Amino acid sequence: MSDSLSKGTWVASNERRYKVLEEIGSGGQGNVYLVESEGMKYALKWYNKTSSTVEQYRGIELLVDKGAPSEKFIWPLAIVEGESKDNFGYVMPLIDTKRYTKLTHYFGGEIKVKRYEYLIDACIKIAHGYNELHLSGLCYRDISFGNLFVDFSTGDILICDNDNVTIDNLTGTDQIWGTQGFMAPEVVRGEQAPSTQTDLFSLSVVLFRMLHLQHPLQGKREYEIEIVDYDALVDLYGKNPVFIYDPIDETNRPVKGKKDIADGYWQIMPSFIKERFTEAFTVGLNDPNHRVRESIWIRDLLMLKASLMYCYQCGAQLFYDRHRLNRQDNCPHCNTKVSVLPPRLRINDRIVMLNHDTVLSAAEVDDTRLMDYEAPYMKVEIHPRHPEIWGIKNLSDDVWRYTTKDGTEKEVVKDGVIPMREGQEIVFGRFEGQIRMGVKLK
Amino acid sequence: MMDRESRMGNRDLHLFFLIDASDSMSYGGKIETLNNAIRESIPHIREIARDAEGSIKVHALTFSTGARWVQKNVDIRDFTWENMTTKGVTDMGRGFELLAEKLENDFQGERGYQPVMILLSDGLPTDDYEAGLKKLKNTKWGAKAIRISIAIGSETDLDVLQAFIGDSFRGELKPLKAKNASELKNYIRWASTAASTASINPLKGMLPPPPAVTPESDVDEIDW
Repeated sequence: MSDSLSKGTWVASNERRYKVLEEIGSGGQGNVYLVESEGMKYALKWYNKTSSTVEQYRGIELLVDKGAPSEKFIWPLAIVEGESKDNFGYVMPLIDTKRYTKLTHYFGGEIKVKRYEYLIDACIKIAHGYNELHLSGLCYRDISFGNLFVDFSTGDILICDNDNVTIDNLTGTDQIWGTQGFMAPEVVRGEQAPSTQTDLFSLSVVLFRMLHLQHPLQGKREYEIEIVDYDALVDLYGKNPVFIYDPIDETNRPVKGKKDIADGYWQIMPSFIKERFTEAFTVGLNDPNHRVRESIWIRDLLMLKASLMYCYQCGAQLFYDRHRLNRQDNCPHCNTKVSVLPPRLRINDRIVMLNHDTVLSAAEVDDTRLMDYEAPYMKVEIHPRHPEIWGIKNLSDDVWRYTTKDGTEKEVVKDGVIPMREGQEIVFGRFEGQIRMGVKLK
Repeated sequence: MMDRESRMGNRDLHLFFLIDASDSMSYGGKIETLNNAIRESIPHIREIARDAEGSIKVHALTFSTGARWVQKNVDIRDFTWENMTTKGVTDMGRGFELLAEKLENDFQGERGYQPVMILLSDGLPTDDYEAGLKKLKNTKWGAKAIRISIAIGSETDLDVLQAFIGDSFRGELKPLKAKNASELKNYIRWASTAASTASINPLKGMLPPPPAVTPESDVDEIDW
């Protein structure tokens, strides 16, 4: 028994024995193996001698006892040991890598995502996952693309390497935690131990990069570093971090034609999300108590998803921005002026697009149901025989009420449809909305 | 959505192997083990490259009587290893010089992670290695490199290998002594993967220590 386990070796938890089938990964702390027990396959992380510490053991024990915050987590199921006292490990569920892509591989360019919906859904679920973790009094410490997996055909996510997780009360800064580019500035500078607050910084980096690809702090300053080493990174991410779109400090803008992939995305994003990212990477950069919280991200991301519309010239996806209605942009794909808007639904201060293929969850229309973003609440339905007539179909158990053109009051239950009409007011269960039909802007 | 094209502005990691191909490397199957060990490390380096933004570019030179490039700037995804043959004396200094010349000429204005340089040797240099090493460390890329050395067999001059490492990685590294085939395999894999990881993520701190060799894997070893 040693740092590496050979095929056929047995290890055991209190309850089960596991047979090592093959090595499936390796890292600084040890190796990961495919193991089998009672006909079920699992992943086993086996710590090398240096990492097989008492603290690590207690840490995993705590996580096993607490249990996973939700099904988004590839959580330790049991501690296992072999013949030697020098090493131990833990078993966890196996990740279906046919379905899920590790985000490092996504950012390495292995797959391209064509539509925004699933990308935004993945962002929402990532934010929600860390929210669940933080609510159980834990912090992750090393949020990065290396431990996030996304199914880009559904937006489902998995958070793995959860042996990074610990109780959110660390004070020591002698051990460095984190991955470059994701660590909060105060962690990079060695002033603070990782915490929920520093996780929130890492989360904002993940979300910015999911939507813009480029790193929020990697502009001109990073581009001009020839050989990047420890000191260069401490300066870039710790001592002098500057957001590439900082509204005042323009010294770290993307480098035209060389490192400017974010520009194409930033220009089409609605103002509210740009403002949120600006907040995250200006105020939130330096003040751990003013970081954007997960619920705020989730609300904004839901709004971003509900702002998706199409360019009626080329079919590309665009975002509606009420602040830009009077100065229309050209579609970045076909370069024609964006002049046609789809029907919209206004609920309080939210404007939700009603595209031909829109499906909305309760979270997108009801402020009080932020986390209810998975089940469909309503969808746009086109009349099968009269394609010029669009309606919204009730997919919920709420009873909707509206008044028709001739003054008749009607109720619509599940699977019923309300035809869209300019100015139509609708009472959905606990909230009200008004429809505005598609317009052609001048 | 946008195409990514080449606008990500990623940087590459350059990985250099400096390999002793002098006559003495032909004894006891050293060169054959080395050939295999490098081949075995390739998929592991590829895994690191998959997780990194930018790619890993591999370069290899051999020194014996004189020095020459055997691989130049090959993306790890396309990298294959040709068996090396041995002949002649140990002009290690010339090897350092050849690398210094390349860094001076081809790396002007390049962007990258800290390059990783791995020196593999079984013997005593027969030329003025100090002059060559000085030239290498005087280059911008040579000075910033993470330099690791692996001694093959027990005849090696460890002072030379320690001088190559110098203050690289805060002076915490020592030459690795590969006394047999399985140790050599382990060390080459460790040096190429752990050092690459440390280069890509310098904020993580220390290089993890090389793996302990397991008794089971010593069965098919060649004794040097």
